[in-house]
Amino acid sequence: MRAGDYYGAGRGSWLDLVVTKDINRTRLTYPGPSDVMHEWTYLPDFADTLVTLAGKRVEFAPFESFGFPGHAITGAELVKAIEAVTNKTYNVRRMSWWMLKTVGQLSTVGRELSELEYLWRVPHRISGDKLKAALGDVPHTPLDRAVGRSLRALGLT
Amino acid sequence: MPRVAKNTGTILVLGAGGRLGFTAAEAFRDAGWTVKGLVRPKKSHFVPKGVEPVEAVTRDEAVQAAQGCDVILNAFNPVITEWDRNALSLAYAAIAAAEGSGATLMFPGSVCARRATAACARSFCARATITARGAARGSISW
Repeated sequence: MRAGDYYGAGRGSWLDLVVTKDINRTRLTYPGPSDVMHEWTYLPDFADTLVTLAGKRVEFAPFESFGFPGHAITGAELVKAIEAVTNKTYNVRRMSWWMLKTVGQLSTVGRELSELEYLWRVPHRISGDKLKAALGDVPHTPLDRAVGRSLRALGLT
Repeated sequence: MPRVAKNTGTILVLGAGGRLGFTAAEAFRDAGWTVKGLVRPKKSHFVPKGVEPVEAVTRDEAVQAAQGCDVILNAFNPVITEWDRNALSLAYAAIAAAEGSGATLMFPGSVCARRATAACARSFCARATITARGAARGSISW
């Protein structure tokens, strides 16, 4: 099952490492243009879907591949959700990839992350049609609630 | 209301201390599954409550842990700087564990199969069946 960028459980996602790292200074950082659609996956929804899928495994062909429809949203929509759940407004800054790419010449982590830069430039979303056909309902926490819970779990609200 | 436990069984979560592994182990446990969580040595305390930890390093140990399991979830998450070195061998260990036990293997992939880079190993798949459709401009499909 394919998914977008995980968030909503533990640390180490784009949400905590980049987007909200300066939230206490009323600043958000976004890795791409604010009008490009990007796919996010709220981990609790994804985990619940794995459970349902596992329960239906006898119904599937020997090899199956599914897309997981998470939150396909623009940067502006993400910022709006964060502002809504924290009841604050923020200055939004673009992450500077050039620095990471420069560092990427020297470090593996910079190189690896630089390879993912296009996912913030090229609008995309994952189609959940096949999964919905197989499961009927796919767990989907509304964006504001998912973002709210995630920020609370990170200790940011 | 408790979830109706339908068609449950035993699942082995590979990497049960990680972000996805931990969350998935909890979800399976709450749905009434028996959950075993594979972790690295001395990391047993990272698995959720109610999950049986199994400490392992080698492929043989993973195969052993999978005996009697109905489903295996490959939630291994190698350090990003070591994808090239570890992602495939971990995926092969998961496959060996599934073959050895007859369990169904679940593998969470990412969207980044488009580029012929290390990111490709991450999805462990040369051909993706989903389409990622652009909203305003451009599109990815494969």
